Amino acid sequence: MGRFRENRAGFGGWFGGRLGLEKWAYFFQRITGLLIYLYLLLHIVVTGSRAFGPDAWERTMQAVSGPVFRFLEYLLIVVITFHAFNGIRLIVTEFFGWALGRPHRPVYPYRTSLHHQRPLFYTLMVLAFVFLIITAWGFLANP
Amino acid sequence: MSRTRSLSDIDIQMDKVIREVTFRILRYNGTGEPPTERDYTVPVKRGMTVLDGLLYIKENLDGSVSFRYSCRMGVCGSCGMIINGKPALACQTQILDLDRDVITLRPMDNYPNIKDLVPDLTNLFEKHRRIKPYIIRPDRQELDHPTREYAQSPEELEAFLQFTYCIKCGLCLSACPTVATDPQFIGPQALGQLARYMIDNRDANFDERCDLVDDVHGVWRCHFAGACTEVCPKGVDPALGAQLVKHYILKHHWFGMKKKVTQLIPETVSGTRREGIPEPPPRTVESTT
Amino acid sequence: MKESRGWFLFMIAGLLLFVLLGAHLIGMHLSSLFGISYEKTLSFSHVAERSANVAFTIFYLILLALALFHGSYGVRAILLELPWSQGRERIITWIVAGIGLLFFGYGVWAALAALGQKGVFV
Repeated sequence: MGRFRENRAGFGGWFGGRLGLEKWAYFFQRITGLLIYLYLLLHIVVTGSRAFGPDAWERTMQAVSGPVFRFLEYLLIVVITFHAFNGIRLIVTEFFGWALGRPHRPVYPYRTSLHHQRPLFYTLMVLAFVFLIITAWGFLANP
Repeated sequence: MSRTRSLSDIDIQMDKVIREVTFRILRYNGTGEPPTERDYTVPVKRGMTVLDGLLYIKENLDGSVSFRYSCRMGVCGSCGMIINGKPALACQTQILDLDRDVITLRPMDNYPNIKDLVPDLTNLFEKHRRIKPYIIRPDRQELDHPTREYAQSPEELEAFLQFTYCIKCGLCLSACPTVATDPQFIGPQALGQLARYMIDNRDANFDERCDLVDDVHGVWRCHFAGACTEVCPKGVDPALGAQLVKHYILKHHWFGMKKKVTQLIPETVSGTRREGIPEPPPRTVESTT
Repeated sequence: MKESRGWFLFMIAGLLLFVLLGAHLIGMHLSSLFGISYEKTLSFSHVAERSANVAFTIFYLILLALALFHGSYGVRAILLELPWSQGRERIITWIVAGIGLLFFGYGVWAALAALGQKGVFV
């Protein structure tokens, strides 16, 4: 079956489509998740150098220090914060089935589960933002 | 600032052409060659839907444009297509609401394309069939030859009613990011319908239904992106259905959740006639039956 | 194994990570907020001190296991949804699990080796 006959959206379907917040949240949850996974593997290797003694540790720390890495570290915290706070929303909705509203008789304009969980979404994003402000202050205090 | 308008102010001339809109239709000839865009100019009157515009094109400009439609009023679910990049029913989209000079139309994503705007929905129906979309009970004899109704309160009905409004238009699978890359994913339509039968207290097959989509390409490939609910034209909210299915499966497997299944209503007491009520007057016309 | 088992653990791990990783993040990367300089947190004497602490080591191992499981399961979910995953679900699961176990093994070894260095470097 040819590509044009099959007509599958492919990776383009992961984002865009003129759709709402939740689809972007889904997309960024994936991207941030992948980044954190790659960082985790790197982090295990880097911090594992402590087992080889002080010289090895200092050498490794030397390699990953400086303003560039400090900035990347802040970006990492941004990424983790989004993933964590959005993850809380997903645990609440997907796992516990809370904040979704109950099934009801649909009357136009429809009020769906997406609308029901949006206050939670906004609250968590505000909390994440506040946390990031505090973090930025901490980073600037000790660059 | 709100402005109230009297009825005479409102332009009620339905036949007046308000604006000209270009329909940019992605034409696919069904042979596997790349589809090409073609423009058609449609004079738009008040109240015209995208489907009306397509019918205008078919009648007056190009009879070879293919699209599928039946009821023209959002009930049959035949005219799903991607209008200006968003999956929607052509018959429920007002051209003037879009407020664009160019309207791009292409067939729904994630379905094999047959021709122009006509997708092959076989996948959708196969996935729907896989979740056994019918009531399953041990009392087969009663199901096939019903003697009485199953007891169900209005609240018990409303607990799943919205999922029954699904018209199988397939827009949700077209919008779903997982279906976009994973053709085997069971999909939001089937999950919404599975929720419908899991909640319906007349259905006694809860345990088996929990296992139906508990596999690699089952319900766990849903990540609550909400695209299905966003595009659903009937307020079915398949995303809610999918989350409820996850929740029920977990409760069933980890906490032994069971479902309370309803039974037949008690046998009704047959009516008795009270003493001393006068007889009705005799018929004045002969009964035809 | 039913898919729901793994997903249940994935969610529980996520919830625990929110708390534990939050504590780890604030303690390590944001220590400057509590007046401990960044350089001090990462100096070897401090690292060795924490490594030699049994409670810290247990905390690290739990964190390591949870993070690797949560991460591996998430990456597996993404890989399973790729167009070319059809019929390769088992291989994907094994590869992701293999990478996870490899890094878990290294992490455990490093933590235990550093724990054993007590008295040597401090």
